[in-house]
Formats: sequence, C-alpha cells, structure tokens
Amino acid sequence: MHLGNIAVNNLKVRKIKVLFLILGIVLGITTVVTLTSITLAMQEQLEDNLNAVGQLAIITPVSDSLSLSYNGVSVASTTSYQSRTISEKIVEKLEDIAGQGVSVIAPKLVQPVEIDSQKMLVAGVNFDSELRLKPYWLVKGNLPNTKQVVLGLLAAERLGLAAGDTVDINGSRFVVSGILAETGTVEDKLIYMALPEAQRLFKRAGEITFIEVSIMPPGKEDVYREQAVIKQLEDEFPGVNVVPVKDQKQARRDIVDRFAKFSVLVSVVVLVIGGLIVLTTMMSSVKERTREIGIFRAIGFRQSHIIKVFLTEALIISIVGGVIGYFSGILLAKFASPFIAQLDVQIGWNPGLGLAAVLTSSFIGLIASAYPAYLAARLDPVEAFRSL
Amino acid sequence: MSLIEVKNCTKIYDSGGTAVEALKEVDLTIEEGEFVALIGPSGSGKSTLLTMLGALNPPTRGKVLIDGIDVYDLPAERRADFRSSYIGFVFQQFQLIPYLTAIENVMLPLAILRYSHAEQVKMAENVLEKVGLADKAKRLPNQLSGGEQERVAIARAIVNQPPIVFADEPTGSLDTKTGEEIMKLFHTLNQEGLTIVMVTHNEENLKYVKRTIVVRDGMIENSNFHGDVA
Ligand SMILES: Nc1ncnc2c1ncn2[C@@H]1O[C@H](COP(=O)(O)OP(=O)(O)OP(=O)(O)O)[C@@H](O)[C@H]1O
Ligand SMILES: [Mg+2]
Repeated sequence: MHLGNIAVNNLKVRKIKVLFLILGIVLGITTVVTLTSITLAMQEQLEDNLNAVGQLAIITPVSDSLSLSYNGVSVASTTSYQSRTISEKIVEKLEDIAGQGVSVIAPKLVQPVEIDSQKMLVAGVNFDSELRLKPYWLVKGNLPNTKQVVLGLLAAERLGLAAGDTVDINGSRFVVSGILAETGTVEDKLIYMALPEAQRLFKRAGEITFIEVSIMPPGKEDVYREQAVIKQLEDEFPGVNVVPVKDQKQARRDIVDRFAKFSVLVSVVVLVIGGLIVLTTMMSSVKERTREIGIFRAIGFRQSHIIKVFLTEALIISIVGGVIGYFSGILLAKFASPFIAQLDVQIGWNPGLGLAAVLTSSFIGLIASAYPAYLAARLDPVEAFRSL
Repeated sequence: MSLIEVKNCTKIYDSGGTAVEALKEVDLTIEEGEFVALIGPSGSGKSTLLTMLGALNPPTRGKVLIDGIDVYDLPAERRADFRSSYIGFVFQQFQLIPYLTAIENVMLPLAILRYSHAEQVKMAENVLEKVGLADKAKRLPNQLSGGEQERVAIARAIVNQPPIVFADEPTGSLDTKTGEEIMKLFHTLNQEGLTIVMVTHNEENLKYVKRTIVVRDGMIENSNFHGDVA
C-alpha cells in the first residue's frame, strides 16, 4: 500500500468521473494529433512537390506599362487591352535546345475577357507541360476537352460556377470540366483551356503571350548556373525577357503555413477546453472528497501527500487519455485527410507524435489538476469533519 | 512531565464574520495511561478541545504540549508527521475510505511510512485480529456493519502504535450492545497502556473510563477521577 494504490483504487470506483476526465483529454489530444499529422503530411507532400518543380522562369516579350499580370508578367495594357506576343516559333527553337538547362516548356496565350461584366483572364495552355511543370496542380474533375474549361478556385468562386456548369466566353459556350485546387498563386484566378482552342477563340493563331520553362532540374537549384542559363536564353532570343519565378514556392508554402497556423490555433483551443474539463471535474472531486481528505490529514498525511495522490490520479488519467487520443487522432487523420487536403502522402503511425501526445496530455492534466490538488491539500481537516 | 499539557488555550472561530469563542482559557493535563471522557452539552466545545489536543486544530491563544513538544510550534508538515507517529483518531461515522478494503484502510497510516508491503500487511493483520475482524479484512466498508466499521477505524488508529488515541463519539451511531463492545475494546487497549481521550454523550460509557471531564460553554467545569471498573 502506498499513495499510488490510493489513487488507483479511487479511480477504479469513480468510473463515470474517470470516463469524463479521459474524454476531456481524448478530445483535445485527438484533435491535436489529427491536425498535426495532417499538417506534417501536407508539409511532406509540399516539399516533395516543390522538389519536383525545379526552378521556373518566364520568357516574355519586352514590354511596357501594363496592368493585368500573371505571375508578375503583364499580359494586357490598360489602354489597348491587347498585349504584345511572341511567336510560337520560339517554342520550337526552345524544344531544340531542350536538355541544355531548359527542360519543360509550357507556352501560354493569356487573354483578358469579360464574363458577366467581370474582368477575367483566360489562359490557353498545354496541359501536359503545365502538369509536368507544376506537380502540385490538382484538378478536381477532368482536364478539358474541346469546348471545355478548367477554372482556378477563385475564378470559380467569383463566377459562382462548379464542374458541369456552362460559361459563355467571347460568344462561345464552354463546359466547366473541372476546378483547379487552390495553389495560393495568381493561377487561382484564371480560366484555363487548351492552347489551340484559345488561339482559335481569340483569333490569335500562332501567338504566345509568354512561356513558362523549367531552367533547373528538380533538386539542382543553383543561382550561378541559373543566371548563366538566363543569359544564354536572352542572347539566343533577342527581344525577350527571361524572369526567374521566385514566389511560386513561397506561395505554395504559404498555403501549408496557413493550415499549420489554423491547426495550432484549433489545437490550443481544444487543449484549453480539455484542460477546463479536467479542472472542473477535479474541483468537484475535491469537494466530494472533503471528508476523505480530512481523514488522510488526521492520520498524518502531509499536504504534499495529498497533492501526490491527486496528481497521481491526474497523471494516470492523462496518460491513458493521451494514448487513446493518439490512436484515435491518427485514425481520424487517415480517414479525414482525403477530404481536408487531397493528400497523396500516406498518414502513418508516428511514435514521436505519440510520445509528444502523451507528454502534452500529461502536462495539461497536471496543470489543470494543480489548483484542485492545492485546494485539497489546503483543506482544514477540522472543517472537513464539521461539514458532515 | 505529563503526556498532554494544555496551557491557557483559547479558540475563537470565525463563523461567517462573527467570532465564536469555542474554548476559553482552558488548562488541562492528561497523564500517560489515562482513559478520559469529555462530556458536556452540544456546542460546548468538546470536539474543539479534542482536535486541539490531537494536533489538528491550532488554538487562537495558548499552548499544547504533548510529550514535551509544543505541537503548534511545529510547521504544518512536521505537525502532520507528529500526528502520524503520536496520535490515532477515531470518529463517529463514515470514517473509512469507501474504495479501500478493511485491511487497506488499516494500512493507510503506514502508506506514508517506510514499511514494505509485507510488513504493512503483517501489522494490519495483527491489529485486525486484535479488534476481532481478521476474517473480514478483504471487505469494503459498505460490506461491514456499523460496529465492524468502528472496529476497523480503531484498528487503523492503533496500527502505527501511537501512544494516544482520540475518539469523538465513537459509539454515537451504534446500538447499545455494539456500543458496549466498542467500549470494552477501548478499555482493553487502555489496559495495555494506550492513553485514550474520548468525547461521549452516553452516560453508560462512563463506567469504562478513569476520569470524566465536563465541558460547558468552552470551559472545563469539572474534572473527576473515578476508580477503574475492571
Ligand atoms: N470550524 C468552525 N467554524 C466556526 N465555528 C465552529 C467551528 N467548529 C465549531 N464551531 C463552533 O464552536 C462551538 C463549539 O463547537 P464544538 O464542535 O467543539 O462543540 P461540541 O461540544 O463538539 O458539540 P457537539 O456535541 O454538538 O458535537 C460551537 O458553537 C460551534 O458552532
Ligand atoms: Mg462534537
């Protein structure tokens, strides 16, 4: 018989209270584990994607003051609503030198249009190259066929359209075949169709607004080499600008960071709620056990012994709650991640996270029980017997 | 030197803003081996005096010396240690921990001391035997009669072999016959050398004690020694 036995025996008979306490802890820890493992998986997937992208650059015609822009590249002047273009022939030449630094070549024709009196940008693209260049692109629905478009997330929201709806562009009717999942970049605002379709629709056969290329293979980014490739391209094609895309990766990271921040916020809130559940349950438990505490004190238990009994109970409950919360959190993450973040990365068991979950729950349990335990220890035994 | 010396003790409670003088300048000495009954009307200060003697209830003024130790001069945790080694308490009712078995309740005072589990069990079995409950050691309190619960409480009070046991109306909730048995048990323990101070309302119990102290209005009105019955 030692103080631990007292704690264990008490917990055994107070099943409802114990269940309630464990539930409070499990609630908090499950949420934290779910959000953390999803965030970790998102970060992993993001880094995989980013590493697969390499360094992108945009090849544009040298141009002047303009307003509508795409990845920092202006595509239409305010006055003319027409932009300069480069000839599609560059694409062929680029393909010839492909391999010497330049790998994926993604030409685009970007055209401002007005839909429901809203100014939008239509991009004619080559979906094959686009998807190779941007592995993070995720089209919910199908890639467009003839007379079909894919909408960026913000474009879809602004136009109030979903996959399967139709939209009139420049007098022609298109079916929305899919929606592009949020990228965090300007790409979210665009309407995408096949390049030849766009060239036909806008009567700009053979024209290209700009070309996105990968000038560095994934994982081999190197500023000096990058500058050399850019110079080589500008020498080869007079009249064009080659601009490395710098904010692409950051924009992608921002999305994950936003989710991470959201996760932290929600985690803190549910942990505080869990802690409050433990606090109030423990407080009422101290009240109920007034007499018992008086007996302990009369027998010669020190205040520190009383605190030990209460904190041992809290610790046992917290550890059990932490373990349960870890398992249910991972299971929930496995189940929920496809709905939350379209993850390809498999969410698995993570012992480090398990340890962190148990440490967190113990910490919360002990902190939340500290005050009730202190009150219990401070109880005047004489009062305890009087209140009978 | 007397075992217990109360020197000019006053106890004033704060009862919701109004001061209640529960004990007024009480002086009292109790010798080793005494069996003392505290009697008096309800609210006269018996329980206050008992818990004050038991190192649980500090006087507002005055001193309590036990075995020469000024108990309220000790810091709180040391006073708890003092109770652990010097004092056993027995109360009226509901004094067992409901989720611990009889023997576990008896082992409770040992849980904070340096005894092995085997030693604890042996000591607890010994005192359970002494109070006649060896066969009910594994029962929970709610599986015991009122008299049996009282016996477990007595066993718990003496398991660590303290020199003094304080009891507050130990027979108060028992029928006459069971009360008699409990008093006989106390009598036996006293014969074996235990000093006992007991609050009681029952005149019948007085035949077992060596001295009766009447408390009235927070003062000791009368203190009578009488012959041992046995
Ligand atoms: N903790 C307390 N706070 C305030 N007043 C108290 C407290 N304990 C006792 N009193 C008061 O002090 C006085 C003496 O109380 P005490 O319990 O010592 O009497 P008692 O003789 O044991 O009475 P009873 O026979 O009813 O048990 C009473 O007026 C009581 O109301
Ligand atoms: Mg009383």
